[in-house]
Parts: sequence; structure tokens; C-alpha cells
Amino acid sequence: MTPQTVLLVALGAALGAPLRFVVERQLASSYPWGTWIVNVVGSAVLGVLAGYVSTLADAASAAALVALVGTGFCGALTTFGGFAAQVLDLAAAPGAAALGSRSRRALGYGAVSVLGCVGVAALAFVATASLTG
Amino acid sequence: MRVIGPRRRRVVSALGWHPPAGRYPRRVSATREEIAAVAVGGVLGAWARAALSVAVPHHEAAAWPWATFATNLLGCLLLGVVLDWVDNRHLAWKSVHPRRSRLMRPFLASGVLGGFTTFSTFSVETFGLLRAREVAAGTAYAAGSVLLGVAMVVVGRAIGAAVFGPSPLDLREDEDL
Repeated sequence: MTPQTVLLVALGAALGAPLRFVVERQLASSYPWGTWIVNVVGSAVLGVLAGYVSTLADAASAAALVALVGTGFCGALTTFGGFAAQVLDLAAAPGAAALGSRSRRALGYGAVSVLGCVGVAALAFVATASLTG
Repeated sequence: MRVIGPRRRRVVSALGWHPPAGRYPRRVSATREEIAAVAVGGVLGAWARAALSVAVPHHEAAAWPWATFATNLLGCLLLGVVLDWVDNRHLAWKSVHPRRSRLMRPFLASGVLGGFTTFSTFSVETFGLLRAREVAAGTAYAAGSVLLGVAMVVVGRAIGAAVFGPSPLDLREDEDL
């Protein structure tokens, strides 16, 4: 990694990670909506970036954008570890819910996260590539 | 208030997994110290992820994204260990280092491992595989990442439970019985 890449990744991550933390804290409830939202938003932004970069001729500015917005900001804004831990937490959630209902909630969260994020990334990529290409 | 019954707690504790004793996560506004801890941790995690992606390049959309796959699974494993340590050791440690212990979860879990693992790259790579008509690989990548990621958190918690010993909460519960 070039020193410039190291700096740009750090800048993006120093914004993305605290933003995720604040959103998660603000939307804290029995269902991890905060993490879901940051994952969907981060996937959409990265989809836009990937679509834009795919049409960009200048390789140096593409690499800088990917380091700052992609690897740094979107990478740190979204979290896979937190998502996986929450699937488990939902399966063992406190309250009177039966085991079947808790498992459904956990499976539902996993499905809604993956489908939502991949779907939004796909839409963002296709829309951006067709607009700029 | 006991929210999780002792029987259920024993069952999940046998798996090395200690659900938080509280009711639901409370809406607490983040302090400036916590935000700073998450930012520093997030930068460290993102650097490690960037270094891994340089070491294992992924140029072809049709190829299996090994770097992100390994990053997310390793991050889930470490997160399991960290969460078990925070859940189990927090009470004991709190009395010794009240300030530092309060920042441990934001720094290690939300910061370092939250910044290390990534959902956005996973989403775009899954779409890339599907777009390259690698439907089987795309489905396997999505399902495999999620299922193995969840399994890695369980394994991490089990490792944590084995290394750090029983939770102070469990010990207090055993005295009741």
C-alpha cells in the first residue's frame, strides 16, 4: 500500500466506524435496525462507487476513490461481525418468545440483511453504470 | 430483574455463550470518548482489511473473493472471543479499571472488528459473481459467509469461555441452585 492509500483508508474509516456506532446507539431496540440500516446504506454507496469506477478511465483517481470511499468509509461503516453476532443474539433474545419464533426472527434478520444489501448494491451499480457509461 | 431463565442460561452457557443479563439494549447516546475509541479501532481494523486485500488481490468479478471471505470469517471468530471476554470479564474488571473497561467494547467490538469486517464489499462481490453468471458461486458465497460467520462467532465464544472461565453471572446463579 502506498502512504496515500494508507491515509485515505484511515480517513474514510475514521468517519465510517463512528457513524455506525452512533446510528446503532440511536436505534438500539430489540431488533438491530441500526446495523441493518448502516449495512444497506454502505452497500448502496459502494454499489454507486463500483458502478462509477467501472466507467472511469483514470486509474490513479479510481484507486484513490476506492481507498477513501470504498475500503475506508463503506468498509468501516458496514460490519459483518456485528451482523453475525446479532443473528445469534436474536436467536437467544430475552423475553417470552418461543424458540421457534426466535429462530424465525434470527433467520429473517439474516435474509433481510443479505437480500436487502445485495439488492441495493445491484440497483446502485446498474443505475450508476448506465448513467455515467 | 431476571429476564433469561436459569435453565435457558445453563443451556446456552454450555455452548460457551453468555447472553447479556439486561432486558433489551437501551438507547444510550454515545459519549465523545466512546466515539473516539470506535474511530481509532475502526482505522486499525480497516488498515488490516486493506492489507489483506492487497496481499490477496481480487480483480476478476467471477473469481471467489478470498480476501473478504477470510476477513469476515476471521473477524467473526475474533468478535466471538471479544464478546465473550467483555460479557464474562466486564463485571470483574470494571471495579479495577472503570474507565478503560467501559471503552473496551466500543474499541474492540464496534471499532477494531467492526472496521475489520465488512458487509458492503461482501454485497458488491456477491452481485459481481451473480452478474458474471456465476450463480452457484454467488449463492454459495452469500450463504457460506453468513452461515460460517455465525458459526465462527459461536466458536469464538466457546474459545473465550474455555480460556476466560465461567462468567461471574453464572457463578452467582450456581449459588442460587
